[in-house]
Amino acid sequence: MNLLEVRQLTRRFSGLVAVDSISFEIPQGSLCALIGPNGAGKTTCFNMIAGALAPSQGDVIFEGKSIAGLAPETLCARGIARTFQIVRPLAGMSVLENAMVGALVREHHVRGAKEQALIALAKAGLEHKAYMEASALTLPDRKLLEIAKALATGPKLLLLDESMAGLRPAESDRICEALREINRGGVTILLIEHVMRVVMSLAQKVIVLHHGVKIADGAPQDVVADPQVIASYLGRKGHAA
Amino acid sequence: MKGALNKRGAILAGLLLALAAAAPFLVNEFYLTVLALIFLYALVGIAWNLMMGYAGQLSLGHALYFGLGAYIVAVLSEKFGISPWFGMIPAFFIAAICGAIIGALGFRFGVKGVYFALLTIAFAEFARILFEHWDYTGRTGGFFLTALNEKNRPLLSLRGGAMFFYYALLMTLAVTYFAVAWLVRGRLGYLWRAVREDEEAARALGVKAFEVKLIAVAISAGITGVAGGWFALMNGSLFPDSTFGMRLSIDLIIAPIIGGLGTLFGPVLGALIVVPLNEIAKDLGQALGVNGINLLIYGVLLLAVVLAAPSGVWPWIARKTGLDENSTRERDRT
Amino acid sequence: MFELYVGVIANGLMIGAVYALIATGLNLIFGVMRIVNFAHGEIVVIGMYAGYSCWFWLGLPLAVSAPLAMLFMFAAGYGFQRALGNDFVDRPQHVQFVLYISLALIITGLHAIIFGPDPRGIQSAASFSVYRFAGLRFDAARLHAALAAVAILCALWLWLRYSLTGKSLKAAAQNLTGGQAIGININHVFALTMGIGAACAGAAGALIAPLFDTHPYLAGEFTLTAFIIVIVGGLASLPGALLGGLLIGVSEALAAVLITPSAKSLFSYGLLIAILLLRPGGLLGQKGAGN
Repeated sequence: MNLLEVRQLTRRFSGLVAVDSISFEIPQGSLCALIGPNGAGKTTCFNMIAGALAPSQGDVIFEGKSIAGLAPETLCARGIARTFQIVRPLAGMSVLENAMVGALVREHHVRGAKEQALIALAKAGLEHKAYMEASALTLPDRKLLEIAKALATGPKLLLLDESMAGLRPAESDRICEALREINRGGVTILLIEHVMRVVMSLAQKVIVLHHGVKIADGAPQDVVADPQVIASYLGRKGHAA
Repeated sequence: MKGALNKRGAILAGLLLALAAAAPFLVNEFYLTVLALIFLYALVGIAWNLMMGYAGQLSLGHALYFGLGAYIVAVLSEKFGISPWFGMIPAFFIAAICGAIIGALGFRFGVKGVYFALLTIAFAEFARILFEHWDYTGRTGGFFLTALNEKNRPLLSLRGGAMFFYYALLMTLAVTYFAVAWLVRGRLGYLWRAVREDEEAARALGVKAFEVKLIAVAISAGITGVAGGWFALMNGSLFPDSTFGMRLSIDLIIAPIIGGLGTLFGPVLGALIVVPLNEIAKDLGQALGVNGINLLIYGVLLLAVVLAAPSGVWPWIARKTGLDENSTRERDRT
Repeated sequence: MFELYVGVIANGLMIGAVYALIATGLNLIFGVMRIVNFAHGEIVVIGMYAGYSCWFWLGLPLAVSAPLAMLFMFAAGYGFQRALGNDFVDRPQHVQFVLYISLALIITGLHAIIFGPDPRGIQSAASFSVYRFAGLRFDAARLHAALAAVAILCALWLWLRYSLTGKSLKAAAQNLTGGQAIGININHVFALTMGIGAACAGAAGALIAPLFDTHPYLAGEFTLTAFIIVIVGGLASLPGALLGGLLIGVSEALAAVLITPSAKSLFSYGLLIAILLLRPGGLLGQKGAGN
């Protein structure tokens, strides 16, 4: 069963076609990756799925229903949560309070939201820093907070935009472990990633974009061997450009 | 929450409240009148702060709601014989609806920052000019409530002497303060703060930003309307220029800005500083036969605050004396 | 009847030209630096008192007092911006607002203390002379003021367009970081902008002094009118400021005659609301540039 289906999704910005008729499916419970060079249209796709942008053409189907053009907060209530590439912690609030904002989508009382928030923080490994100022966190912790906030909304689909950017291998491994746990718990994950090591170890399915067009779609080992993918993105040695 | 009172602060607040309740037996009538005015300004300050500090919308036309509330309570009482007890209800709701309309227009059309502030000024000025030409409410000549006589029962007419207004406004202020505190500690408070910090990120977390901002704006306008109603009762006479004018709009917001935005106690402290200062300045001006001293003092005070303590006097004090929650957090951690 | 309306419109155009000068000053300050100068009207009133004082104590004619006011306000504006204003450019808008409101209060307070609250008018032979043209009568003082305002605006426009400093000002208005990257001294440019903006306002004040009685509390109206014109005409559009000024001047004059004098701003505020909601970039500005 596909949780998310993207059909001929297209987005134009006054003459420039950023995303051109892209289609793919995300099976329920899977962990998938969206990769491709910078400017390939990955974040634009995310923005259309998450409601931050409306598609120029095409459709996004979530749980069998069309969601194209709906507002971000509506989609979040339906179960789609996303993180931002440049993390956006809510300054002036503690780590716990940040997560509570997400939890308040489903919980109508502060006490219940606090419990859900603590659970989400625990899944991201941040429960010991719950009362710290969000603005005082280190970058890896901020990335984890970004994930915890999204997780606190109780999503069915989690969209992660370059959660590993700027992190050292040990730090990104921590996040990978957290993501595996979250996926095992039943949350479908679609992530945009440049770090191929992470993609290979995490993803069950990889979708490759280039110049706004999908050029490959399948299991990681197949995609990595695809000549078109190698030519446009990976280069000879199988590393991201 | 920034500036919220922790246990030590709460005890101090309790003492202050007890003191306030006993005040009429300790000070004379003149001071009671000044204190009632302080409470009135604190009330509007809390309301304005809700819109600016929590919804992040700068309103420079709050006199609109003040004037509407004032005229509604006055006209209903004078021309329809409706007791102000009931008159306060439409004052709240009509002001709230106006606020919601202006807010909705602003949000829908993406009017932000100083543009939104100018929008609010435009509406307030519009109302002022309309009322200046409206025969029913007395035009520029003013609208007057019938003078009180010995048969007046303050609890019925909501008008009385200095002591009556003192207690009435103290209670209105206390009720509003605790109601807003309850709101801010609850679900709405979190959503408000999230929207103020980063609206896009908040929406991605499921926060219905439009609704949440609108609620802040409506409550803010409604409370200001009620304050206007009390002003009408206290003053007995209303003039469009002094109830809808820009001078008033600016007067109303000086206290919460000096006291501290985004905090609950800030507006109260601000009013405690600004109102007596204004009285002293006016007296000084009269004694010296010079006009405009109060403006100069206001200006210098504001300048001092914006240079030395831009987030307001209360956050500054709270930091220094460890009365707020941030200090509790710091102590808990060490 | 016809003569009445032509006269009213002519008056409106003339005062509108001076309004345009005030608004252009604000347009520069707000457009280049995004500073919400709520003390702009107060600067105009300083100019008015300067014009009045020059006449009252020194017997100087308008031709001298206006340039004096301009120079004085330029220096004051430049000095203020370098000393204090530049530090506030990056602050949130409501903090800036408090700074400028505090200045406005201080200036108005000082005016009231020094000159007293009573209106002071300039009574000279010049204030009563009239030009006759095609059967219509034009106030000489008004005409002089309007012509001077237009002359200043033209000079300013040419300077912005063709001089190196002027061009760097426009560059800074459009792209601040880019401007800094190519070596524009932002502190100096900002101070210059504030100086010019203040000079415009001060000059306009001196030009208005013979036309209306001066008193400390006129300032608020000038500030609001200036903002309305800037928004209606379009931010960063000098022709827009001129168009806006003329439009507002005429509409106020007509409203004063058709309705009542105190209702003159109804049209202006209505226009402001409409523009803010529907075309925030202003009549001559870019569409949808309402940020």
